[in-house]
Amino acid sequence: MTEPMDMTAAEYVLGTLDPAERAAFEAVLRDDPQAVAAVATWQRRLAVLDAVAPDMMPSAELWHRIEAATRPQPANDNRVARGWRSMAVAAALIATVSSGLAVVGWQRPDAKPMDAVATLTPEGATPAVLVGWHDDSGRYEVRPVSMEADRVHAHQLWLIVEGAGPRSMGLIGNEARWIDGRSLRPGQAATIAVSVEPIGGSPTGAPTGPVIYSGKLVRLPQNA
Amino acid sequence: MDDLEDLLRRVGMQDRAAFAILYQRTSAKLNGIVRRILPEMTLADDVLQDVYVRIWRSAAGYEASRGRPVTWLAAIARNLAIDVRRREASRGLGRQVEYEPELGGAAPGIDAEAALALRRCLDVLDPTQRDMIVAAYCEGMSREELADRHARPVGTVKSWLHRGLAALKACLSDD
Repeated sequence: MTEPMDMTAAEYVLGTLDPAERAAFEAVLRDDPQAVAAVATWQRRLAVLDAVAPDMMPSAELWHRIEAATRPQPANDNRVARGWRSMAVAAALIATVSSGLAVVGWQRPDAKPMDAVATLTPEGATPAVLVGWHDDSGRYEVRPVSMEADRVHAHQLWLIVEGAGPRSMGLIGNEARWIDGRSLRPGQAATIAVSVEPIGGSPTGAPTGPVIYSGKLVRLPQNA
Repeated sequence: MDDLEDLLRRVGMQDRAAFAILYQRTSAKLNGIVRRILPEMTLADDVLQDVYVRIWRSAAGYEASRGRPVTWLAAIARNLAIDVRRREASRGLGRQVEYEPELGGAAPGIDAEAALALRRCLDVLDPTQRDMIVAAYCEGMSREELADRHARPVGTVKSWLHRGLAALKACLSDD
């Protein structure tokens, strides 16, 4: 942790970075666990200043507005419940920082840790899909977090390694799944993306619909 | 009594009952945090709604090893409130109300020792540096607003903030 980086982390927590500095630092937070840790340390140092804020009851109707805003649409009821329940065993090591999210790792407590992880997001929004890679077993672990699926399209996962075209990793739904990646190894640098395709998948073997989520696969530190 | 960590874990699994309890337990504090930054009640209400929607959607990402639940919740509240404050400030709706935090006894979720340590370390700072750090954190003041309040150039504010933060870090010596 360099001093300038630590001061940037401190000002980030303080809220005094200007918009350009803040955007640049949020980009760093997306794949620098040290920066994420520095933010957590500053949050802890200054937390007493939150605790001394006066307790003020919000207006009585606010809870009803919040309830209405978070109630799932009836059509989505099942998928939301199923999706989240299947995540119960996984610990998502996501540190929420400001309006962005930095993923520093994510693993099952009872399994060998993954070696690389990608967070697939639409532009600058909440992660939609988490993809983990395991060197030893040669498998990808795919966990939809907040994917917007419908019934008339398929979502197809693609591996993009530098110097080669996208290769299909298969279709994904709202359930977590494992993908055999022994013939789809990510190498040192890869991007994973989700495109919207006709039911059954891309007819051409390459993405034909819009890419709605994508993310860089980031190698995790050895002892993470 | 359910502890906050357990409540957050359940909210992460989209447990609505747990969400209601979490709201009952934390909304007065988070509202206080938002209102320090945005004293106008209508704005604060809208922000607090966004805060809880964000909590509902992101709770699965809360990781206990990275900080206490209250700290995580407060960070969401402060960040959203500061975003709105900056937006309002750019529309010329600034304000100048000095806020003096009571760093007295213990508060829920924070042990008395931590509160004492921070107060002790804030006390050894240069008073201007201390005021700037507290005003930025508690009131959400930007460097430009601090520069106005202290009649100093923005560059000076930045270096004072850095010196104050470095001194605070050295004093807390908790790395």
